[in-house]
Amino acid sequence: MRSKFKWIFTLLMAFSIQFSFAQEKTVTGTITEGGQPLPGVSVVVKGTAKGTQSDFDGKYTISAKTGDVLEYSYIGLKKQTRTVGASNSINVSMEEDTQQLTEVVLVGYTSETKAKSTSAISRVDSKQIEQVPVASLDQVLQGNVAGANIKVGSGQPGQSGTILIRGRNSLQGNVEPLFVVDGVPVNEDNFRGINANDIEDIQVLKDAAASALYGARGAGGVVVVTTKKGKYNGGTSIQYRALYGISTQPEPGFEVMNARQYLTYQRDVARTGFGFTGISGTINEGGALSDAQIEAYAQQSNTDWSKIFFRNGITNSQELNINTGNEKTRSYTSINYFTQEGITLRSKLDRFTFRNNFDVKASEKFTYGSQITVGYSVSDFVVDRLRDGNTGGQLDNPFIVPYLGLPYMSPYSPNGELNIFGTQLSGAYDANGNFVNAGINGFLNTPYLALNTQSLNTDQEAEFRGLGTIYGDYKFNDKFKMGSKFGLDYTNQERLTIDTPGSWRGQIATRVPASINKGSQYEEFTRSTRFNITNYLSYTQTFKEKHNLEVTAFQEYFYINTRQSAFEAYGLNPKLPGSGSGFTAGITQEGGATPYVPFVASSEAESSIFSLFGVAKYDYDGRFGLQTSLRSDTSSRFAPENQSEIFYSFSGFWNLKREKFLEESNTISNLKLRASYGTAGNQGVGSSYNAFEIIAVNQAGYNGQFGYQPANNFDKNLSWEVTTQANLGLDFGFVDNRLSGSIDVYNKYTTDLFFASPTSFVTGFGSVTTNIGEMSNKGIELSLSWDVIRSRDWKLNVFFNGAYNKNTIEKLADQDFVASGSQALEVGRPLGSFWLTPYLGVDPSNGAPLYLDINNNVTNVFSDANRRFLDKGSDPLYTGGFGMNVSYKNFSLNSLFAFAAEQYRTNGSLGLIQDPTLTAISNQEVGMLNTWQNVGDITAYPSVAFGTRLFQSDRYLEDASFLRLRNLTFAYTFDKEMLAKTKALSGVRLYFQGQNLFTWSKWRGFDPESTTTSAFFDFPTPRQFTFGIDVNF
Amino acid sequence: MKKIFLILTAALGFISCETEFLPNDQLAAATVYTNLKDLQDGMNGVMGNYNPYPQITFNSIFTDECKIGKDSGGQQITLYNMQVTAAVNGGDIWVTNYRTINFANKIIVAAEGIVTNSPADVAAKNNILAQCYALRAHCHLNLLSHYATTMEDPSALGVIYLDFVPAATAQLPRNTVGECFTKMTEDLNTAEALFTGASNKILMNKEAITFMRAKIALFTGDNAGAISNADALISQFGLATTAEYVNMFADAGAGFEKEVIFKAERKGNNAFVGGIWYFTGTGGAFMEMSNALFSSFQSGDVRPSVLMWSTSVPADNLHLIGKYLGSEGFPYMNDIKVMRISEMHLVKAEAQAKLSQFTAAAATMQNYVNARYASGAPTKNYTTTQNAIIDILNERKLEFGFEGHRYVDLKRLRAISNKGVERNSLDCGGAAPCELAPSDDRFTMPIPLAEMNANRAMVQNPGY
Repeated sequence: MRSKFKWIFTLLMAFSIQFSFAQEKTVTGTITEGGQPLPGVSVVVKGTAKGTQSDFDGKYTISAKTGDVLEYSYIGLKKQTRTVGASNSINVSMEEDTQQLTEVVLVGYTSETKAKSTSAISRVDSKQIEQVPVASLDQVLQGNVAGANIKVGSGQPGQSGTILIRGRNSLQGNVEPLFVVDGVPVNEDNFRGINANDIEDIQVLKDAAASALYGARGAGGVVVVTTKKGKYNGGTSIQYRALYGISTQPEPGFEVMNARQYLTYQRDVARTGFGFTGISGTINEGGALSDAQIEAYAQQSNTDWSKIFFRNGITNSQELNINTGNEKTRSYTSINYFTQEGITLRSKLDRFTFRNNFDVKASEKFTYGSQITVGYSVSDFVVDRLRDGNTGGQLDNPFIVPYLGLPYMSPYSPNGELNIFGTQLSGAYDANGNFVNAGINGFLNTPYLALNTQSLNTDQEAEFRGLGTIYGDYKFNDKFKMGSKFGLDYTNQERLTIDTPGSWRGQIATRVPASINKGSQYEEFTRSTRFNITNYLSYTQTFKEKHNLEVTAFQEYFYINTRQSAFEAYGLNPKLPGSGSGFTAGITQEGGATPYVPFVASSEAESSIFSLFGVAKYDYDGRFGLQTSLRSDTSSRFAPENQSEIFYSFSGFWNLKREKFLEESNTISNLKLRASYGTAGNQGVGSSYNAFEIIAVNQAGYNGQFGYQPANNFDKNLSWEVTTQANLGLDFGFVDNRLSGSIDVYNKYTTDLFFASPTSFVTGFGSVTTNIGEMSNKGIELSLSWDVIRSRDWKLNVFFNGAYNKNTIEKLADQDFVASGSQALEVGRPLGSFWLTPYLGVDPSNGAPLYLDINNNVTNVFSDANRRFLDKGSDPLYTGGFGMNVSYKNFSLNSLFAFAAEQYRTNGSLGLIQDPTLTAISNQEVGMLNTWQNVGDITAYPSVAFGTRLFQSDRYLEDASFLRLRNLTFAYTFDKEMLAKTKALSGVRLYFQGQNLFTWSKWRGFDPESTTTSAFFDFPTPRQFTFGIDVNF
Repeated sequence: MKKIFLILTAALGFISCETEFLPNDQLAAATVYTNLKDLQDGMNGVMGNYNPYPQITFNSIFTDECKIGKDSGGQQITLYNMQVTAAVNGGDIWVTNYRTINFANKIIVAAEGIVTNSPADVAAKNNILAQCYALRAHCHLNLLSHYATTMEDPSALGVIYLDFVPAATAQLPRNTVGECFTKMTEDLNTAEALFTGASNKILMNKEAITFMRAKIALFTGDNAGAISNADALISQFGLATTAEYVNMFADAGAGFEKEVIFKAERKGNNAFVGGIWYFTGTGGAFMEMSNALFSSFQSGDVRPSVLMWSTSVPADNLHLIGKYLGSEGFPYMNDIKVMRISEMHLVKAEAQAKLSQFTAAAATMQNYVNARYASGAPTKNYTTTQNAIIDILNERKLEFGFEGHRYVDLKRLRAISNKGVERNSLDCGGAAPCELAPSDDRFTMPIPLAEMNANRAMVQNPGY
């Protein structure tokens, strides 16, 4: 080392001696970025090898002669040049180079410059992800990525969304993209334990050039998440961030009756329920209520149950992060506490996360590092439609109450407290004040039952998530490089569900309702371990300075193990809540039975993939290039003779801007053509063992003795779904990239679709999962960004991204048509097409509902046989987002709108409150007051004589298209020079933020957006208002 | 350094790259059945899947046995409204019976690989096989009585008689009614030859074979055969006294198994049979006993006390179904008495009436009703086949209420009785039909749409 240093020193001396002869002088100065001294900036005299770096105070000293050009450069910042004049002092202010930042793209396992990329990739950077008060990072993508459709099924804090990239690729298999965080494939359905503020950027890989590299799991696209790293030579910076705000209920989009309307409607129109009959033996046994009695009830209580059930939930996030970097190491460390309450009682997420990313340049040749995050979160759930196989119709689902809750019942007890038990009027108690089992869990008692469950019972999940990567890269020389990466995604979930003995659900918790000790406690432990090992060897060579070649070979093994155990104990001692000491002994006998025998369960599942793959890239001077990849996967999900498959891709680019005819153009600043073609697979279908004949254990068995029984129909030839995709894209920029963007067209064709093909019931089962069916997705995507104003004080940027995707089923099993509920599959139509009998309205002559029969004649007899395709589907044809970023001096205003168009859902929630047969037990939509009653009435509501609503007509098929102001942020950034005087602060930013402020939609409910095709009392997405502050030290 | 790194990389690369996994909590089919105990466990699995509930559900709710209950939130409403199509409400009986048949066939195949040496083992294995054959015949009879347009015409379309293990892709045509009965008879003969030792009432047994033979004879018009088989059992089993009758449905007490020939045991984690009409957690009834059934109650008759729960308030139109309130400590869970001797008396009387032996028929019925009434049993006297059959139908309604007979009884006797479903006016109206004409196609159930879709050889029943 010493000798080397000496040598350099001597060399430097030689230079300085040489130049001192040419009127050398010493130039000094300070380099800043945004008013902050910037260390580590490289300063070079152009055309020479002479250079230096700025020190920790941003100061530099270099000798140069007048007329020399000095170049100042720093990774991520725009290169600056200054000509040495008379002055000996040159201060330089560096600026961020957004264009350069986007230049390096990770294409799966490798990286390349954007100019040489052949893939269709959308990038979302940290600015769009950070400090958004949404605890699941996948949701943040909505409106930000052309061609990604994100649906969210519940407003529970931390709820993961469903992401579709370029449409649905599968009929019954997994449709979501593969999520890769720092090189580790992670569970795509759970992000509540990950802090989105730690993310540097998210790249969404959409075409085959990128996804083929992921082989067996790439068919649904790939979302590559990269977390923040420090900067080498970046010094130390500390940031504190806080966010505080509320979540509040969305607009309902429907109206229910008030007490007077409802009782009058019961009495005069529906002729059923309390208003009509009173309650036998208890209240108003005489029969129908008089006007005066109705008035009296309405005066007494006229409850709007939505006001009782929705609350303003608090969000609070506190974070500290530290970036450090010197010549050899860099790190990013963060610690975050996040808590968010849902918009109804008991719904909550508490989270604590920390992260440490650390990279070391151990030598010129060897680099290693790690990215590790640990999160601990506790989620409290309500009876959410999306949990536990619920249907939404559970009477203790809080979101059923704004619909069903009867307005003439008071939410309060006589002492003024919230009544969480019910009343005699609601059927909970008999005349003697004893509760009635059927009544406390009955329809009339719905609001009290829901409050009872929310107040007294527990449904909680505590999750520990550890996600980490450790890697090492070794450079043999300029040509050969090899490395390894080991990743682990470990999730441990502990679920605790308690129905307390004093709660209504606790009263019926045991399998034997007559049991003396009430209540139950269920605990479930799930441990999921995914590990991933990747090794690579790459070869890079440039021939004749212009021919660039890079070849990389990879080997990968991925293994998942999920272990689960559970128990449920019955008969809890109310004095020992949550403790095993309070469980009633299992052997306790009552009436000859043993109602307290606990339930126990345990299971384990494993699967793995072993892969070998390679990618080769070639380009000629960055003008045009070709890329190809080949991957072989072996998956444990399929029988040994079918478990290997090969995926491939070919792609290329032509950078027209680098051709002579465009090089000089001032108008066109970027123009690049891309094309790709290739295949990717999907192995994700239901069980891991569909290809094997399995015998299950029937624990209930017969006569108390367990039995064996066949578990499935199986197809030993089961194999991958294969998606072949062609993509053609154009990246462009005009006038110094003021207007920039890209346009992509694609055609995806999926074969060997997994399908539960119907089998004759003589086989013992109704279906066998097999590979049949073909489907295509064709579409176009456009992203645009326009810097309208780029002045010193004013900056205005507008952006748009939009996508059109058309899905077509190309082939089905034996038959061309398969019905399932309100939808059906047919060759030539998109997946998710509604198949219903058209509803025409009400016959004014008799109040009958009218339908269109199969011969297009009007009929008042409903029949399933009249169902048909309505050219309406549950997946949108158009999705996208747009917005505007405007800033004036230190103020900025950013907006993001998201939209989905041509998407439909059936509205079962509304159907229920327009059903006259349920009038006695459920509040009704206010429009029911216009129910047909007399000949000649023109109305949309059929006579009550025609009974129930019929779901399989299109009466409740509604347009669920929406335009949503997803995010609006108003921020003020304090002047850095002013802050510099404090000597402690280097940056302060204050902002106000609104989330989902406005939604425009025809949908008649709380939320048009959902993962389900039929609404039934779903947990809606909230509106949020937050205030935040970022402080840099 | 370089060397260490290379070694490390290589080591990581070859950590147990296992890519073949089988489930940890289930078994591979090829290795399950190796000894007699395994075979017995498999037989438990078959019986665990034997499921009479869909038949009870359909026969009670579709007909005049039920009305909408006071705690209804719309449960089973389409079935009550007689919406029976290939897509809706027609499939469960088909699915559950074929599932049981398929599983029984797999045990018959598995038994071939089980070596038995001692006489006791041979007998045990033969008993398992006999149960499989008898159960197979029983399930096919259930299918035939719901899905064949008629059981009296041997050339009419029957059901698929499944006497082998089919491939997952199998597309089998319907056998004729005649073929089905031939194969059913063969299965019963095979079973009879294999049964040894004492009968077990909760498993298929020798007496159950005679029972099925009597029913098959009656259904096919062999009235003499029906009478002789019924008599064979009547001589073996006495009718219950009124007290024993009540005990029978409580699954406990003196003489509770006196009438029982075969019953499906229900205990522990089995599904609640009461769940067909009740929310079992809360006791709320979404289906109740009909006024039609209530109005045929006579004083002195023991059967109403079992049919209707004592907490009912008929004055308030509250009639709670009382047949499955629970036993052996489990609420809403009673053994399903699939074969009882009383049915043999009713089979015998019906065969006698069809043979125009009115006096004999009346005598058979008198003997039966005398056992059911504590006092004041009505006097039976028949003059035509029709009035005999109508009376027998009425007694069957009271005897077998909520036991899965009503639809089949109305269906097979409608040509003589000229009666379809006739609901009480208090039980129907609006979307709920008050009657189903005897000529209605819905007296034959539709082949489920899923079967039609999967099986190109399948032929749908008329009217669907």
